[in-house]
Formats: sequence, C-alpha cells, structure tokens
Amino acid sequence: MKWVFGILKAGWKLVGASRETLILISLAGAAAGLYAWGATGRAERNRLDAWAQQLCLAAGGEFTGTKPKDRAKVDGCTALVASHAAYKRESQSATAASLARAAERTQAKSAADRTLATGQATRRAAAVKAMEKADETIAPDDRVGGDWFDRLNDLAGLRSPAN
Amino acid sequence: MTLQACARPQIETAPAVIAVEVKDTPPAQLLACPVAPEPFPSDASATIPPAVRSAIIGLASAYAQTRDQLLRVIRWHEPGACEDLR
Repeated sequence: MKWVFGILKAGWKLVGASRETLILISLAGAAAGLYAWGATGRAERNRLDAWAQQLCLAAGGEFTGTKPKDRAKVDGCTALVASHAAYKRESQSATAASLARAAERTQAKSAADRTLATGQATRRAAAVKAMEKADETIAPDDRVGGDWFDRLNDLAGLRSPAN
Repeated sequence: MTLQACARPQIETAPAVIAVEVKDTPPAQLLACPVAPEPFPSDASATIPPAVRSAIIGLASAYAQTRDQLLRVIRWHEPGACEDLR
C-alpha cells in the first residue's frame, strides 16, 4: 500500500508547474459535461414545448406557458381541454338519458295504443253483430224502423253511449 | 431497436354520438277531435232494399273504423286527448 502512495506523490511532484493546467483541463471537462447534460434537457424542453403548442392548437387555443400569473388559476389551454372533456362527458350522458326517455315513451305509447285498438275492435265487432242481427229481422217488404236505425247509429258510432 | 411510436399506449376513444330531442308534433288542426254527425232519427221508418241497406251498413262501418283509427293517431301524439269520445 505504501508504495502506491509513493508513486502518487512522485507523480504529483513530477507534474509540478503544469498542475494548474491540469486543474483547468479537468474543470473544462466538467463544464463540457454539464453543458452536454443541459443541452439534452433543453432539447427535451423544446420538444415538450412544441408538443404543448400542438396540443393547444388542436384544442382550439394557444399555448401561453404553464405558469399563469395567478397561481391558483389553471392556464387557458388546460381549462380549454378540460372543458372539451366535460362537454363530451355531459353530452354523452344527456344523450343516453334522452334516448332512454324516448324508448320509454315509445313503449308507453305502444302499450296505450294496443289497449285502445283492442277496445275499439271489440266494440266494433259487437256493433257489427248487432247490426247483422237487426238486418236479418227485416221483413221481405224492406221496411226498416227505429231499431234498425238505432243499430246503424251504434255501428257508425253516431250516438254517444250515454244516450 | 424498437419503434418507439408503436410502443405508445393507444387511448381508446369511442365516437361521440349526440342525440337531441326533437318535438315533432303535427299541427293542431291534424289533431282536432273528430266531430260525429247527427244520428239517424230513431222514430223514422223507410223502405230500403237489401243492396242499399248493405251499402249504408258498409258506409257506417267504414266511418267507425276510420274514426277509431284517427283517434288512435291523435292519442299517439297526445295521450289522453279526445277523452270524451269512445
């Protein structure tokens, strides 16, 4: 171990006057490294900046930076994107609701119409039967009287059921 | 080497469908309740041959059918309308 230390000490002495040059060179190396590291960061930042500008443009706004003056407020672009998302969300839920409502209404209408149609058909069938019966009783002299006309009125629905 | 762009996760986006309620109510004139004409007098009597009788019966039957159908159409658009009619 001792001999390693000895070699280093000897080397240091050997360097002598060019010691400062060596320090300068290593400092320059470190600075170059830092600069290169910074360049990568800057490139990354530029890429993100371009992406943000594109995103804002697509959303219909303009990228004005990530830090608004009022810190509590979100920047315009974020607000824009958020409002787009909210609009989509809300319109989708409203659409689902109105479609469901329409389906329900149509179903109720169909059921009511079926009930009404059945009632009407039953009543008409009964009236037709009564009319046929009244018509069959007409004598060969073809004289028709009040009963026949009553059945005819029933058949045509000319008389309200109250009468 | 892998293609970076292809490795990105794809966000599934469903196409937005927007339904808007549209009021499609026919004009009020089309939904007016049918007014039944005066009935034949009950105390009348007449001599009507069978062919004429069956034509009259056919007319009455067709009128009732058409009126019923009209009522159905009216109530389809306005549930509970013309409630005083059968």
